[in-house]
Amino acid sequence: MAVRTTQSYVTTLDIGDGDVRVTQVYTTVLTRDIEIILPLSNSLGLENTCGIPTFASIENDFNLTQTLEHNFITLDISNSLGLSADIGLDYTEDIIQYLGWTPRTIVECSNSMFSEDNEAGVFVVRAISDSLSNTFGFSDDLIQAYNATNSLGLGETLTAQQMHDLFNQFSLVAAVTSEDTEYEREMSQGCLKQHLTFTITGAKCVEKDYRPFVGEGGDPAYEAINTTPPTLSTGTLTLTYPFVTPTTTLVLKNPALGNTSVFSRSAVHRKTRGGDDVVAADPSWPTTEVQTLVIENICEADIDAVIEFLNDTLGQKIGLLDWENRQWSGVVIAPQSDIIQAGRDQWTFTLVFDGELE
Amino acid sequence: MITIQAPFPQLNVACVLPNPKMQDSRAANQFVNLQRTMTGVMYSYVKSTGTTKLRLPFVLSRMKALELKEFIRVYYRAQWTVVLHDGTKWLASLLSDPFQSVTEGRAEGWPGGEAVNVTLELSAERI
Repeated sequence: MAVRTTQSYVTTLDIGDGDVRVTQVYTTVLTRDIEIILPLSNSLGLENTCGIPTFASIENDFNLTQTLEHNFITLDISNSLGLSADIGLDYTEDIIQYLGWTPRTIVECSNSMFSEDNEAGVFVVRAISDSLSNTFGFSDDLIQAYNATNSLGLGETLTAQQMHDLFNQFSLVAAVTSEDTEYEREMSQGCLKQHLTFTITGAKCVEKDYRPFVGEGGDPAYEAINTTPPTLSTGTLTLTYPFVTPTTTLVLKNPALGNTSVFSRSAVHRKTRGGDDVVAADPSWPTTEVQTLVIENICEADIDAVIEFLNDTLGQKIGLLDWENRQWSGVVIAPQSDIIQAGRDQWTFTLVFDGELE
Repeated sequence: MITIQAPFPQLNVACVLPNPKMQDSRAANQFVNLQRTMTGVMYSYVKSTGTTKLRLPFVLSRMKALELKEFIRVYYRAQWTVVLHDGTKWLASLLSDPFQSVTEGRAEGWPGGEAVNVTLELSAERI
């Protein structure tokens, strides 16, 4: 391999033993006085030396269309550029006459993408990455070229699990500038239709079976019934706030008889076509217990204390120690209940409490 | 005496209740929609479930009411078998939602010292 050039370009090209290394940015202009004899392929090592990340940058840096015109370049110029890792360019035999491109490109991107093509320059891109967001920008500026044809076809077949984003942007810019008016130039742009086929192989939604028989192996929420009866003793209705480490305590009379406890839960009743009666419920569905307590015959001072307590704890979790000495925690859900004066210094009010037994 | 057992079909737990108060009831769980055309022809549309709605009012002691509440808390989403005071056996599911208990009054000598009114409503079919 031999390279001959004028002395003025020595500073630009580092000529080694059979190799040529470009050590500067490729703004070098090779004039007709320069005669380059092949192969330039591996010796130039453009890929590693320049670190050019994109196809467009390589093209602009080297000014290939102008620089290489009418010089003595062999037909293997594509290999001589050595862009195969990022962009491999094959020049046809007509390159000396037309300086036109019929590129055959192989692109391997760092984000696990690779593409391959055929002789027509059509891309076949496959993605095997988790996220796919690619932007291809081609800007061709060919001078003194008779034919400039860009054809980009992306056919993607994506098989993804839990794909979040898919974003493709195509930017095709082709510009042909020629001073030769002898032939009519054509410029065409075409974008092939893109088809995407998604195959969801991962099931994100877990099927829930709301009707295993209670106690069966398929019932993860099985809870054995508590066969130990609760211990009841005598207590006095006491409200405390906050529930944890209370600072406010209100002691009241025990409620009158007729107090109610309403235990509600959500369940679905269905009759199947086969005649079975189905009861279904997810144990995670909420259950509530609302107690309605009527406290009678309390004096006005106590009523004032009740009103003050309700105002201070509105919507807050309070503690309730009932007349059976059982501790509850919950919220007063009807603070607007009427407080009735039944007689002289005799007041009655209703406490509606939604809570759970601690 | 009434015996309820759950969960069906294993029937691990049984709860024994006293006989219900008078005024207990049962009703066919069927529905008929009757329509007439402009010419006077009558059409009836029947929705038949094949079940019976049982309504059983009880007066229970306080402790028995708590036992029944615990039974419902665990097995409200299961089917029960119910043996009524007349010896008939039913496959039932609980209908009364919410389940309400009302303290009726003091009951000296009863477990818990109070009498509680509870009404069970069941959708049941004879087995």
